[in-house]
This record gives sequence, C-alpha cells and structure tokens, in this order.
Amino acid sequence: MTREDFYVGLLLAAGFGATLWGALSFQYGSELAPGPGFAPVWLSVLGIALALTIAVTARRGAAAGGEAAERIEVDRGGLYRVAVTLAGLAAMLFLVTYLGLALSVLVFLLFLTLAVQRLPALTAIGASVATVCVIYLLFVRFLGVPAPAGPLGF
Amino acid sequence: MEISDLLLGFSIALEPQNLFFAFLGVFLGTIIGALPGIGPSAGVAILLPLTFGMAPATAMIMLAGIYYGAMYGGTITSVLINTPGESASVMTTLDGYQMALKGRAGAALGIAAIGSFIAGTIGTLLLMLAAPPLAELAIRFGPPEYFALMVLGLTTLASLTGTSMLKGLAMAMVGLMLGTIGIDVLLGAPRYTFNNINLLDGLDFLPVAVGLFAIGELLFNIYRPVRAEPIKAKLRGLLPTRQDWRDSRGGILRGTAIGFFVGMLPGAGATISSFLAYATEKKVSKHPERFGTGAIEGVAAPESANNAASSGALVPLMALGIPGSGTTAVMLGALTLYGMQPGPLLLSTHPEVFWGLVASMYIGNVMLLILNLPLAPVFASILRIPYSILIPVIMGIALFGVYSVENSLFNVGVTIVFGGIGFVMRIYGYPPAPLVLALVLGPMLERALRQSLQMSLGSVDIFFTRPASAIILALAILAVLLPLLSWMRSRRPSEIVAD
Repeated sequence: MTREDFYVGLLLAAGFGATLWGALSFQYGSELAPGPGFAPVWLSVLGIALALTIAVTARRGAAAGGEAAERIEVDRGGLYRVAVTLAGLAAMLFLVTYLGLALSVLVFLLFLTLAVQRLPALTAIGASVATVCVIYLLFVRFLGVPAPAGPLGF
Repeated sequence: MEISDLLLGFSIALEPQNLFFAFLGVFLGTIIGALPGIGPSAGVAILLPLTFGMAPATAMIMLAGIYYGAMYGGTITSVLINTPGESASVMTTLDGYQMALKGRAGAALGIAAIGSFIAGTIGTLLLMLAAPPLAELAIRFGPPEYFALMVLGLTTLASLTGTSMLKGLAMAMVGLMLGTIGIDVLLGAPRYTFNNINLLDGLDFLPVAVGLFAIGELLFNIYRPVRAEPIKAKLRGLLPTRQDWRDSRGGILRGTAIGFFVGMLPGAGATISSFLAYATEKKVSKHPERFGTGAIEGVAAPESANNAASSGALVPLMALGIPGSGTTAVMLGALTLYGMQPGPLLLSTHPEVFWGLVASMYIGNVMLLILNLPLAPVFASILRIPYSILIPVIMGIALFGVYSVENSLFNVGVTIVFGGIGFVMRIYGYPPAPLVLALVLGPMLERALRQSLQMSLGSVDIFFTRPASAIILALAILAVLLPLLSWMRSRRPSEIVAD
C-alpha cells in the first residue's frame, strides 16, 4: 500500500456509494426471492467496506512510517504523453463519422507516431500506413467487417 | 473417456484448416509471448475477433494455441533481455539470462522448448483424463455449488494476483458491479443503463478486456518506454548435452506435475506454478547455490510448469465452465460469443470442441517444438524491432478488432475508457485479471445466487447445508484468510518497532 492508495480507496468508496444510491431504486425483492436490486446493493456495501479498508490501511501504514509512506513517483512527461494519446483516441472516435474507420485510425496512428512517440517521419508514416492497410485487408476484405466508410470510399 | 472420443478429436484436429489455425495460434502466441508487456490475456483478447466466422472448435484450437504458445515465447525475452515477456516467465530470467551471459542462450532456449513440449504433452494427457470425470460430477451440481465454485475462483484469483490481496478483491468487486449493468437476468428490469440502448445487453467483456490488458499496457509503454536491448549472442547448441539433460529431467517432470495441478486451481495459474516449481527445484537440488548463476534446471522447471499450467487451467474451464485466470476468462467469453453454453454439458453437447482441442494440443506442442528449436534465432530477432513501432501496430489491431465484434463504435469507446483505467491501475498496482474474471462470471454468479435463494425460500443456509458447496465455500474463505493471516504475522515486528 502506498500513500496514493488512500485516495484510490476514497475514490472507490465514492464510486460504490454512487452504485448503492442507484441500487436503492431497484426492486430489492421479497424475503423469499431476491430481486434485481439484491446483488447491486450487497456488492456496493461490500465494495464500500473494501475500499474504506484500503484507505484506512494506507493511511495507518503512512502514519506508522512503514511501507505505505512510499510515494509513487509520477513522471510528468510520461503522463502528458498518455493524456495526449487518450485525447487522440477520443478524437479518432469523433472523426469516424466523417472520415470512416480506416482513415480515422490512420490519422490517429500518424498522430501517435509523429507527435507522441516522435519517431522519424519515414518510419512513422511507413508503420502507420502499413498497419492500416494490413488491418483493412484482414478485417474488411477478408473477414467482411462492414467498417464505416469515409469520403474516399473506405 | 473412450478411445472413440480421442479419435473424433484427431479427426477434427487433423483437418487442414484446423492444422493451419493451430500452427497460426502457436506461431502468433510465441510472438506475443516474446513481446514484453503483451501477455497471453491481451494476445487472446486482441486476436479473438479474427476467429469469428470460424467453427467453434477451430476457434478454440487457435486461441488455445496462442495461450500455450505465449508461455514459450516469454522464455525468449527472459533469456535474451532479462525481461519476462509475461509474468509466468519471471523465474526464467534468474538463470536463463545468466546462461545467456555465459554464452549458453541456445541451451537455455533449447531446454525450455523441450521441457515445454514434455510438459505440454503430459499436461494435455492429464487434461484429457481429468476433465470428463469432473464434468460428469459437475452435472450433479446445482446453483449453490456453482455459486460456491465461482466465489472460490474469484477469491483465489483476487488474493493471489498482484501485490495486495485487498487490491485484488476490490478489483473483483468492481468487475462484479460492472457485471450487473444491463437487463436483470431473471426479471428483465434494466439496471445502470442510463437509457443507453448499448448498455441494455450489459457491458461486453471483450472491449473491457482489450482496454485493460492491451490498451492499458500500451499506454504504460508510452508512459515509460521499454528500452531493452537483446544481448548479442549466437544461438548455438540448442540441443541439450547429456549433462544438461541429466540436470534437467527431474526438474521437467516435477515442474510438469506442479504446473498442471496448480494450474487447475482457480486463480493460481502459470505464474504461481512457475514460482513453486523453481522453489521446489532449488530445495531438492544438491547444489542450491548454483541457482541464480545459470543453472539449467532453473530454466527447465519453471518453463515446464508454466506450460503444464496452461493445460491445467483448461480443466475447470472446459469441465465446469469456470475460468480461473484472465486468459481463460477471455476464452470463456469467446465460447459464449460462439453461441455455446460453457459448463459440464459442453463435453456431451459439443464433444468436437473439447476433443478437437485436446487432440490439437498434442499436435500443437509438436509444432511448438519444431518451430522453436530451429527458429529460435528468428523469434529472437523480433526483439530487435523497436517497441515504439509495435505500439501503433498492436493498437490498430486492437481497435479494429474490438469494432469488428459487433460493428459497434460504442465498444471502441468502452475500450478507450478502460484503456485509460487500465493505465491508472497499472501505475498504482491494481491487477486487471480479477476485474475481467469477475465481469465474465458476474451475471452467472448472480443467477446462481438468486436461484439458490429462491430454492431455499430466501435462506442462506442452503450454501452451508449442502456438503459440496459448504466445502468449496470453506476453501474460498481460506483463500482470503490465509494470505491475510500471513500478512498480519509479517506486519507484527514492524508494528512493534513503530510503537
């Protein structure tokens, strides 16, 4: 357990609290037969208990100066790269409607390799184009997956 | 088991397309295993969409090939770059890399291939002998026993995976909660659907699995790029010498036995079995001081164990319909996607799937041996491809694959979201396997629980008055309590110091 686990525990407890709140609106069932709300209620309660145990264990460990006093060192540059990649993936999903699946994936891979990974231009373009070509042939041509088409017809 | 069953299996496994897909499975599995960061769970999840349109037997033959092929592939990375390709190869790094430094990389890879072949073949034989009687026994199980079995699977996986049992259990709870999304299994009421039509059928396991196992891992590699250079060693002397063989044969057999039986236990799997096999080998050795300095039996035992474990893990999957690991959870999900009902009746209703798989594993292990002895240098050369180039390739296949399952962009979105969650889990040490297993088992577990309570008119006594469910639940409680007790015992001295 690390110091950050305290916050993760609280976050999980809040999440399970929200699911419990939602579960209370489901039919719990009778004494003889559980209904749709039975499992979500009990899972949420158990989840809250577990999450709080994680938070308390992490906090007590930190207070005792033991293993939990350690902090996870976060590399800000790395975190930025991941955030940008996730934003690129979200943008790709948005672009599918306009460009089609193959072209959107190609745009995303070019963005990933050129802007995030900073590969040499030729390598980045080669890897991205080759990947999309092979995937398109495999899934769309060979397996017959009806992928959304873009303005170029694929 | 009758000989006609096995003959049926071979008649299926020897069909040209099944031979081809078994070969493709072990070939791709070896590559996946060799790539650091992409383990068998991610490999099976990413390549699962390629199997749609295949007969279920063919698809399972290919997926199983990827699974046990990856077990061997991990060795190449462990030996040549001192980085395990997947968690089951961690122990192989200790002596495998030392052997490579001494110019014996070829011998390390050779004994791993031979040990894997022997273990895989014996493991398949044991799978063939163990699964049918277990399935016959399980036919008599009712909902309470099934509920207990699934609880055992989840608790053991949660308590044995990752660095903290609490984290594993929390992830299993998140998976179970996600499993409640969608139309209620018995009464048809929508739960947590937020009026979104895509959620009525529940959250598909594949986008979640690909997100957590594959995209999350790729994001982690973007966060902290892999910079591993394989050592420049010529792979000579792949066949073991007489002395190598004398040193390793005991380890191979012990590793096989440990691997198969530990692999059968829900949650334990290939990683734990390779740890146990290595520890056992060191304990029985007359020269334990050689371990860690390049002892060939330190490679042979864990490599045999992780291959036998992949056969052992198929026993509960095929006989009970209950997976014990992340990879077998994905395979169970695959069975349901092919329209099959996993469980003890699978062996009688679809004998071609089980027996075709068993026969193909005999053939696949031979293919693996033939592939890996002469082609070890070729697989090793894959390690020279920069990982930065493989990231867009794997990401592209994963995204297209997830879309192709249901032609759903919503599923691609789910994959991206769980990719982000998987990355955060990776950073903070929260294991993804219990979450995926719980998501797959969740609806079955809830159905079994509610049916049991309906049978007993709401009394939980039903779980403790039926001997089989009582024993299985007692084991599940032990699975949680034992690590907890050992953790508390290990904590005590530090607390005394702190006080």
